[in-house]
Amino acid sequence: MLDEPHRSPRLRSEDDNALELALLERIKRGDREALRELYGRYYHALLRFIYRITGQLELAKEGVNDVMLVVWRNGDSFGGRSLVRTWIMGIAYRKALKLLERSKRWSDRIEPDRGVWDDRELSAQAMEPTSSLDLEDLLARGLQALSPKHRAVVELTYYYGYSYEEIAAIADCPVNTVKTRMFHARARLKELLPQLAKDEP
Amino acid sequence: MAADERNARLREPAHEDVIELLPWLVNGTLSDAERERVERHVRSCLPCRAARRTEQRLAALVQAQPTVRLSAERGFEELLAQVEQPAPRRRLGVAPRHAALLAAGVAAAAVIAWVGLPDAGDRGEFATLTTHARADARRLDVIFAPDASEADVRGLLREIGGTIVAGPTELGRYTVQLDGDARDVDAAIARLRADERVRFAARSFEGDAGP
Repeated sequence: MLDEPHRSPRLRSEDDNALELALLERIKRGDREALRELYGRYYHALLRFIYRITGQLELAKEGVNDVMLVVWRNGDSFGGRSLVRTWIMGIAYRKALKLLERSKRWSDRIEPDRGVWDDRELSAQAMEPTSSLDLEDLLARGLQALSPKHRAVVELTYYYGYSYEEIAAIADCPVNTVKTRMFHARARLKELLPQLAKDEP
Repeated sequence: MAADERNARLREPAHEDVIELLPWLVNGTLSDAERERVERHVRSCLPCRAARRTEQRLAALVQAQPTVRLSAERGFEELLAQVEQPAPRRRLGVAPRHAALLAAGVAAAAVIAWVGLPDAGDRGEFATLTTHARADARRLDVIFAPDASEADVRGLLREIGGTIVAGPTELGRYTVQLDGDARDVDAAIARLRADERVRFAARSFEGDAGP
């Protein structure tokens, strides 16, 4: 069964990494069954992540296969300096940003005045809770108001459970940049959703 | 103030540093030493305690965000087509974002054109196809060009000595069973790939596995 229940990469253990290393070795030798197994292990995690970054399901579906195609063709480029999950999410991070940029170029041709992650519409009034929007809905909108890189750090930290060192490896940036992005993302979310910080002074 | 206490205080992170690290305190990935230092500060700092509660709320909300559920089987089938045909998108001169639409078009055209051809009823059921492939290596996966007629397809199948035993999948992929021995498989693939009425031809999934 390829559609294994969704399991966040944060729940993966050292044993998982050993298993994934073994799969990667087989993939390097052209083993499609190993590719299939690794695909099943990562499909939903990658789909969610790329969807979260791009906000477009079609791009997310395309992105998942782009990532796994890199794994298939360039397995040798995995140097073993990180966990397999970190390497794969790093590929996904770069693919997601590229897909979003490409999508933005297309939409700019069609609607030159509108950006893909334009947050000008998200006024404070728009973020006020209403009877039809609960806090989860508001957070979804708040996350969309962040830049893709800021949104990625929030997702990688709170959904995927990565350490800041791992996120720095995924985003290929210094750890201080990760901390700064997260700091600004949190500040922006608190600004948009004051209910989050209801007991902060 | 004793020297030990002074040294301990010097090792404590500044308030601003702790604020920055709170997300990773909450997600449990700080090193033991760092977690200990941050927790010690949070215990004695009222704003940090409130900020930690905020982060816990944010973490819970992010984790509660709905996820996307799609069929990995179908996604893998699409990946397989890409794996078998190196850089097919560029050769077709189609932007990657449109490749899926093109493939869907191939499938739609194939379905319309070949109403009379056998359909094993396993459209989109990748597991069924791979089971077949594992059992018999003389099977090919073939996607024909959208403008290939039924007569074209029947002629090609006659040439290679093949019969459609499954398909089309939603991507227009057919499984073709060959009559000959294993050497004929390579010849059949080469023949199909050389024909402009064929978009894709390769051994069925597991039949070609290994180095």
